[in-house]
Amino acid sequence: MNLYFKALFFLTLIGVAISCSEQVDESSADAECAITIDSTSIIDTSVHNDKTWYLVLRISGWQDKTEIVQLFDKKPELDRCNRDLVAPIIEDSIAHDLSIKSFRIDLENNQFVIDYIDTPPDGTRQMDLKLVF
Amino acid sequence: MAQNTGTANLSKLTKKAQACLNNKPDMPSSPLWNLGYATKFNSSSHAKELQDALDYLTCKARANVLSGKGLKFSDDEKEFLMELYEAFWWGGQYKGYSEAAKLADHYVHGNGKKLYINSEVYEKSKIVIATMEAMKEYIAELKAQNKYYTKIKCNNLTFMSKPYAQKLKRMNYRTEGKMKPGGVLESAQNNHRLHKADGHFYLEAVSLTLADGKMKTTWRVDSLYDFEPFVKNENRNYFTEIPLGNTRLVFYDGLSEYMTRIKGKKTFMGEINWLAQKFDYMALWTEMWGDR
Repeated sequence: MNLYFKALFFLTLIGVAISCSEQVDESSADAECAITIDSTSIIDTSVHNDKTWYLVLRISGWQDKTEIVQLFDKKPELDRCNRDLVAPIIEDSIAHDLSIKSFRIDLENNQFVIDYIDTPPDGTRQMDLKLVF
Repeated sequence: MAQNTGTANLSKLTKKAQACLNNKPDMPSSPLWNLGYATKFNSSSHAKELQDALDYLTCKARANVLSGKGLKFSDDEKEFLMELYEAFWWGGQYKGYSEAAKLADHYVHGNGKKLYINSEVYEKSKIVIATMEAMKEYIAELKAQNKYYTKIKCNNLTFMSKPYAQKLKRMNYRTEGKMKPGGVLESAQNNHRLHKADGHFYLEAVSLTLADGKMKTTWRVDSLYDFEPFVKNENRNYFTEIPLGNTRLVFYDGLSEYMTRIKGKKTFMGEINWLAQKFDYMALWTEMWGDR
């Protein structure tokens, strides 16, 4: 019964997909979400030059995760697929298997300045990400 | 003092584990049905059934890993986890991520055997295309200098110091992918087909010179499909959010990892396999290229 149920369900799914299908740019606001969506969290906020800045850690991927740091000068807003509705000022992925010795924001050159070190053998990664300008 | 603190923390963890273990839900009999119904018809009740089951199994796995409890997983619970992964295969195929779907299915059905995947997923990637071009420049340079060029990996230190390799580190992480510290290549965030199959990998070139002077290079990617286990620091436990209509399923990587420690059913030959097994996977493709 299980196999029959699965086959019936998948055929129904195909039918619905064909009737509703439309080629949509995955990055557009109307696009369906990808099969998995990123998780996000605001990890630091700070006032600098009379502005409130937000540092966000975004994690994407399935079995092999990518960690992304984003800097915003407005409060981040997300759509239902956790895509940014407010563009970050700077964003980049960070090395997923190294520890971070130091992290700072280089606004002039629109980049993060990150010093990496090897992660200790016990696997405890140092990842102290704070808004440092 | 440190030992007392450690004991107190363990006790706190045990109490938390016990609290969530007390809420044992029924395992949905067909996760694929729940996933499809929740996605297409925004059914929060179908999504909640799945989440409640996952939360309970996560709690159990975490208790076993972090508190040393030897809690068993019932046949229903094992079947639910297997069927959930099988449902991911359907979902992956539906979305056009056939490699990611195949990998998820192999995790629960592959018995740890090595898997070959379609190289197209790498060949069409901007970071791979750019790295191949840079590595060919390097190989041509080595050949011209009568130096060893047969087997080169993208994390070769001399290669990485070259100007044509340096630009790989400045590519856009979101739209192109880039080379990260240590020479590992990272898939573009927008390339969901590759990103969900292999987020980080090394590219290797095995080259030989043909009789007519042209080069034949076999490109190769070797990766490992596995998940991070639960750790004590809750903030470091990875999870994935799977969109289901207006809600999301939260699936902890530690639970996927723990499936490799749960014994499955006996096979026809009387062997007991693990519910899931990590495995090596690879892709190979060949290129002929001219004198440089």
